[in-house]
Amino acid sequence: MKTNNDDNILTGFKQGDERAVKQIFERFHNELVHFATRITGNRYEAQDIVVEAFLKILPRAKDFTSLENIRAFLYVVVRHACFAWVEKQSGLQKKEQAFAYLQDIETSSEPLMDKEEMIARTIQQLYEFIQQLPPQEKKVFILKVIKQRSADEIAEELNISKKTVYNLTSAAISRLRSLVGRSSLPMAIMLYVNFFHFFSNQQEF
Amino acid sequence: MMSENQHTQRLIELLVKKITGTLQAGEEQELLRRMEEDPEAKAFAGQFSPEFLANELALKEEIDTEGEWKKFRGQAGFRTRVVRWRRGWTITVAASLLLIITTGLYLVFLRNDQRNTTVLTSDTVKDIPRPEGKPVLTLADGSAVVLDSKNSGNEHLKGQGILNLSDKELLYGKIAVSEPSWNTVATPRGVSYKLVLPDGTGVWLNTTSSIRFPTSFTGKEREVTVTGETYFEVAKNSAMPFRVHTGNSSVQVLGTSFNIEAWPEKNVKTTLLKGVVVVNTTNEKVRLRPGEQANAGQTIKVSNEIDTEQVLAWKNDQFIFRGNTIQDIMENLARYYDFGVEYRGVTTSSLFVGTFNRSAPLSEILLFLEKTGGVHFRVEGRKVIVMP
Repeated sequence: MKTNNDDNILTGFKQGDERAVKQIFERFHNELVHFATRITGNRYEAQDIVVEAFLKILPRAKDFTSLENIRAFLYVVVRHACFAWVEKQSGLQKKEQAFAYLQDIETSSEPLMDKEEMIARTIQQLYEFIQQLPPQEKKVFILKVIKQRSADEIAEELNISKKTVYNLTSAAISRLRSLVGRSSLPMAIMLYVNFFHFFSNQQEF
Repeated sequence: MMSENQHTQRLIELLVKKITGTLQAGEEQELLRRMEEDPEAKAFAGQFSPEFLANELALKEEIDTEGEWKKFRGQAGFRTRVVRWRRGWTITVAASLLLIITTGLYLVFLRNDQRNTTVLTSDTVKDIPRPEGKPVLTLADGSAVVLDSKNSGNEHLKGQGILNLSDKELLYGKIAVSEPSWNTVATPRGVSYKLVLPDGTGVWLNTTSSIRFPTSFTGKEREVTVTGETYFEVAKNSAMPFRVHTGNSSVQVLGTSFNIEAWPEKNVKTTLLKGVVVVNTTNEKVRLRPGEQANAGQTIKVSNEIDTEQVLAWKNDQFIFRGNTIQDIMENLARYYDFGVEYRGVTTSSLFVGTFNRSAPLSEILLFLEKTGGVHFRVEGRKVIVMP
């Protein structure tokens, strides 16, 4: 979601301000490592790939038009590196798949998200969502709504009453509803306007 | 018309709302319509089962953004403001002057920034060729396999659960066995190595170090035995705690990262980076907090003034010295580059500060140290003589 604060971060980032770089790193690091781990199956390799990707955005800081723009670019760089790694690890079997990705990126004017990127973004949005809940609500919410465990089980595991389980669940949901209400719809549409423009100017990295 | 990515973005938003029970009026219908129009979207939405979501969220919880930021920050060159002083050298002038004035100690800040260093030598300081060994995996039947990508198709490795084998890393996957067999990985001088155990725990071995572990963890605890210096990032599993044995102590782990130094004839030092560990000796038990180091000799001493960056320098293939004596430094270098040390004359009591890449030739590091004027070296074969 685009806010005033995002503009400040972007400006700071372009000026090479360490605090801004840190904010960007903190915002996108988790989802990118998650994404890279799913492709490579190796968390340590994924971490290295993501650090490398962040190093690649620094010299081109001035080219970016929004944080979402940076995020999309990072996804592309990380995906390339993951496929290069997988290819190296397993010989040629995966080569065709990786090649298909390269073609995709070159021929389309905005890079299409692949299934893994969609998954990573979905889980990230869910994760950010849940992080906004107070600890106890979060715990119950994950067990009840995400894992779909029964209220009896949760009550026993957390040593609280069944009624508390229900209360905390509905408190969590109504808290999330009010948060959703505030961040309104146009966000998704705004994100990709600058995005298009950016990638039509980027040929290689 | 919406572009494909806008459609995807909206689909993701609706899915998250659906999962969390926060869809608003009309959005349920919108989601259904989008899935009807786009069979791929329907298939995509179908995979978010409760188990899948719980797994992926758990995976995210384990990602250490803070730690990775530190790594990134170093590589990106966000450092204290430095003044370039000759090619490839930097010196923090003000800081070192201040320290010399206030402490009277001989402190020089050096850093070899060059990635591809040329071999510097002088008449007395010649380079010692770096040792050429490779890490070795020893299987339960006693057979040994050199850990080199050439051996990735080795017959002996079938049934060990090894997913990947290279010069840098060995990766185990989960296998179901009735009777796990015990494997050992050992590094020679001048080599460090990383492995991922069957439970997903990451282990880094410094030079001349080893780890013995089962190809599958069974029983109440996940137990391994180490020598030398090792760094662990233990995969969480509260049902099966992790335990690391060293000569005279053991470390009980509850999902965490820590470094163990268990050098022959030295106290075992355990440094905790994250999480909780309990250090045990035969008659003592100490619980560590992040940033603390336990020094287990006759008794366990705990210190919280630990420079964790220095402790973990080896893992980033660096030597970091921050006010170390020449004896400390020589011991560290000798272990890695494999040479003997002889002290002649009155050995300097200066403290040295500097960061070096372990890829640098030994002669370069020695010459940097000589530039301080506090110490001189003569290299004879695989021996380094330290002189005033």
